[in-house]
This record gives sequence, structure tokens and C-alpha cells, in this order.
Amino acid sequence: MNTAILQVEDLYKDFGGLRALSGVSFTLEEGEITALIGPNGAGKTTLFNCITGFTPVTKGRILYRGKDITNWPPHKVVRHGLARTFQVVQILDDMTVEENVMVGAFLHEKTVQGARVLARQALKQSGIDHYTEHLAGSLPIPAKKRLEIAMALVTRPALLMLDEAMAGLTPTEFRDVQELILNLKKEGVTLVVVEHVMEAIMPICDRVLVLNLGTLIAQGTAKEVAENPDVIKAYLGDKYARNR
Amino acid sequence: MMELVRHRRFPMFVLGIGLLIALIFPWIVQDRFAQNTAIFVLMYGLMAQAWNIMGGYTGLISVGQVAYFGIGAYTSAFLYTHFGINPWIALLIGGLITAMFGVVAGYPVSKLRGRYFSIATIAMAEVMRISFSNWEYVGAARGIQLPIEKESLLTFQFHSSRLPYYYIILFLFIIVNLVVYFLERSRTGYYFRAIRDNEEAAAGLGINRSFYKLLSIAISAFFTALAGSFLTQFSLYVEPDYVFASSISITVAMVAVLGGIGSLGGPILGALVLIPLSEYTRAWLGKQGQGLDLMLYGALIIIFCILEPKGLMGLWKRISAKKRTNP
Ligand SMILES: Nc1ncnc2c1ncn2[C@@H]1O[C@H](COP(=O)(O)OP(=O)(O)O)[C@@H](O)[C@H]1O
Ligand SMILES: [Mg+2]
Repeated sequence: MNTAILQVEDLYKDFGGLRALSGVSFTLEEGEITALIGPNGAGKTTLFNCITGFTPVTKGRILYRGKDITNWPPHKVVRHGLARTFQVVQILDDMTVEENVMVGAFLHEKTVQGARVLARQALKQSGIDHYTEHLAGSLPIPAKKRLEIAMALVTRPALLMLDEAMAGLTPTEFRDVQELILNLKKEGVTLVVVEHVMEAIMPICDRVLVLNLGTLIAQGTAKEVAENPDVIKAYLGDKYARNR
Repeated sequence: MMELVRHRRFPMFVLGIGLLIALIFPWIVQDRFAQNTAIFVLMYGLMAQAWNIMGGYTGLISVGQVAYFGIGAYTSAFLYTHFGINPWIALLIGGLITAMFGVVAGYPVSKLRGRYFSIATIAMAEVMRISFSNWEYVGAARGIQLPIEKESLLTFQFHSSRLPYYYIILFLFIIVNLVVYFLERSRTGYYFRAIRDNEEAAAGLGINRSFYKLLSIAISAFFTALAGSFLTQFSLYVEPDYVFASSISITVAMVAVLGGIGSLGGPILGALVLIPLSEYTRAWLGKQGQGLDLMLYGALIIIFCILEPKGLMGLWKRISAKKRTNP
């Protein structure tokens, strides 16, 4: 029996006159990988920001394991097991790779020594342990993205949300990330993955949510969604949909 | 270009030797002006290190530290003259009250970032100076005069020698440095630096930004206030234009920045170089009354900033790196 880990109920987000999210509702099941797709500007990042407390919600509710976490501050959200990465990498540039991850590790280990041990594990798990002593700001983008995943992992999330973690990676690199995602699933982590590269995410996800202009236009398995005329229209325009 | 970080902190033996020299300094150098200068080196070193906690580690660049300095100075002067509270206890209470003030005044401004925060600190300091200038209960523009007492450690007054003042401020200076030393090696220190580097990332890693910013301000305000209380005892009077002078805020920030921020050694080096420079240029050139001393002092600082934008600590690191490459 699956249980809900996250419920989003009738969520609205306005930026001044712009409605970025409009009545979005969905439920995430524990242990699943969900792909969140949609054209640029659809509101995917905004949805992440609302859930993780980085931007205030205009209307609606967000329940995490039955608890109302709407408009909780980000640090409180992560303490309850809900971690995320950012589309535009957010790392601590002037600290070493290891120190970046240690900061997250301090949630579980008060001492520097203990945090270092946890950080080393997370770096290994994310496959960037060879950068341990490097200044984070000086890494190439793909390594920064990995680092961000390590930073999220070390907080021990039950729900991990990745915002375009594979963008800009080479095929070999994103296969590594795919593998990492599947491994995390095996460990029982629930994942929401925003991705532009469909081929990168479709084969590994259990469910797909499609967002367009702030509205959830479809949800289901990868196959169901790919055949949905609204989705085809949103991605390829009216003409293509009519011609089919 | 990827950068590998070698942990080249200020070596501990250098600090040890420095401490030894500091301990015997007033016995070797008996000159009164030099001893006074040394006292100011330590007083500004104390304040610059306190500034470093906020500015260097947490990224809260303050140009209004004199607000904490002045409140500390006034609190201890007031507690002593009105309630006869022992200067040492007044010093401690002054620090605590100022820390509380830092939290209360800091709460609204800690949400501001970068230059907006800095501007708010200037405003805060000015508001304090003007308020104290008009506050009749604490003597308004006249300030507070402390009565002269018999000299003893208990009364915090010494008339026959500067030495006790020197050792007291050295003691306070050592304490703030110890605090920073342990901060660097603690979770709180990592949290401070994380907030400085990237607030969003810090929040995403579970850091309560407001709490840690206010903690940083409170620690910084506490130690800055101790310097203020020390000055009260040292000069036996407080006056708004004296203990709330904006030049103090600027000097403190400059000592820290020139020394190199975000490291233990920076403010120490900064105070060791800048304060004697300012005191001696004033002694030599200040009498002509044409601001020649300030011009020279300013020019030296500008030249240094151009040559070594990472501060004296940057210079130190370059020198020690060279030593390593050609042994
Ligand atoms: N901070 C903001 N202020 C104003 N508008 C914003 C802000 N963030 C996002 N938007 C707007 O909200 C819409 C959704 O953006 P976003 O969530 O980034 O889309 P996606 O991640 O799906 O590409 C866009 O029209 C974007 O311009
Ligand atoms: Mg986005």
C-alpha cells in the first residue's frame, strides 16, 4: 500500500500581476520517482520554491506526511526531511567542497569531526570525493551540480527535489546521475525531478506531472502523458496536435 | 581554473611569539606615547576582531560599530556614577546590554543584504549619537564625568602608570581572539561562513539565517562594548561626540579590511600596522594643523589597497607561499 508523502492542494502563486501557479493539486507517493516536466516558464521552479519555503505561497496548502508545512521557512522544511537543489546552482563559493557538505551535515552531527565523516560519505555517494579539498566556487558546472546533490543528501532527506540537475551534462555524466537517482530510490528516498532532457528522466520515473503556464495539465505514467493531446499541444504547439 | 585549498592559517607559533612580545612590551618600551599607542592597537584590535565576527565571517559588513562602542561606554559610565556599580561588573553588564541592543536593532536590518545592511548600520550609529546628545538623563551633550578614585584593580583606575590599562586591554583582546579561534572550529563558525557565502544555500542546508545573523551581531556587539567600557575607564569621561564618533566605525572597519577579513590573523595584523601609522603620522605631522597627517595616512591606505586587495593576510600568505616554493 502506498502512502502519500506530499500533498499539494489548490496551490496559487502570484508575482504581482503574473499568476505563476494556478490551482495546482497533486499527491506524491512515498518511494516513487516523479518527473515534473513542462515548457520553460511553466512554473516548475516556482512550485519547488513554494514547497521548500523559498517563496511565500499566495493561496493553497502543502502537506508533508500529513503536516501542514505551507509557508514554513526553508531551514525548518529541510530539518523535516525535505531537501532540494536549485536550477541555478547555490553553493558556498568561498568554502571547500568538503566544507559545503559539512554545513549540511551539522544537522545531524554537532562536532566538526563528526560532520566531516558524514560529509565524506555524501561526497563519495555523489561521486565527487576527488574534489574534497577544492574551493567550491572554482569547480566546473557539472561538478557543482553533483556537489549540490551531495549537500542535499547529507541532510538525509525523505523527499528530494532536483531542479534540472542534469542540464548541461554529457550523456555519460547524466547516466551517472540517473544511477544515483535509482540508488536513492532503492534506499527509500522519494524523488521529484525537474528535467528538460526527456530521455534523461522518462525511462526512470514512476510518474509524470506536466505543468504548463502554471496549471497542471496532465499526470500519469510516462506513456499516458506522452500520448496526452494537451501535453503534445503544450510542447509542440497547436499545429502539431491538429495534424495528428 | 580550479583552486585547491591549502589550509594556510596564521601559524600558531607566530601568535605565540606575538603574545610573548605583547606581554613584555611595556617593560621594554617605557615611552609613554608608545605605550598609549600600544593600548590603542589592542583596543582597535579588539574591535576589529569583533567586527570580523560579523563582517568577515558572517558577511554583515558594518560601518556603524561605534553604536555598540558608545552604548558600552555609556552603560558602564552610567552604572558607575548613578548606582555605584563596580566598573568590572558595569563592563560586563554594558556588554550584555549592548548585545541585547544589537539583537533588537539588528532584527529589522538583518533581513537587509549587502550594501543595504551597511547603510542601515551607519544610520543606526548616527541615531545613537543624536539620541545621546539630546538625552538629558545621561548628561546630553555634556556626557558623563567619572569621579577620580584611589587607584586599584577594583576601581579600574590607575594614575601612576599605564601598565595596568595595557594589561587589561591585552586580556580583553586575547579573549576575543580565543572566541574567534574556537568559532572557526565550531558548527556556529561554519554556519556564519555559509550565510556569508550564500544565504539561499545556507537556508537550504537547514540554517536559521535570522538566528545566526543575530547571534553574530550579539557576539560582535558584546566585545565592541567592552572596548567602549574600557575607554570610559581609561579617559574617565564619555561624551556623545567622543564615543559615538563615526571615525571610530570607519577605523574599525578599515583595520579589519586592511588586515584581511574572515581570518583570525587579519584584524591583528591590521591593528598592528594601521594604528601606529595613524598615531605616529599624527604626532609628527598633525601639529601643523593642515591635515597633512590624514592625507599621508589616507594615501598610504589607498596605495596598499591597490597593491594588495586581499589585505595584510593576503600579503602574509604570498610571502609564506614564496618561502615554501624557494626554500
Ligand atoms: N521571483 C519572480 N518574480 C517575478 N516573476 C517570476 C519570479 N520567478 C518566476 N517568475 C515567473 O514565473 C513564471 C514561472 O517561472 P519558473 O517557475 O521559473 O518556470 P520554470 O521553472 O518552469 O521554467 C515565469 O513566467 C517567470 O517569469
Ligand atoms: Mg525552472
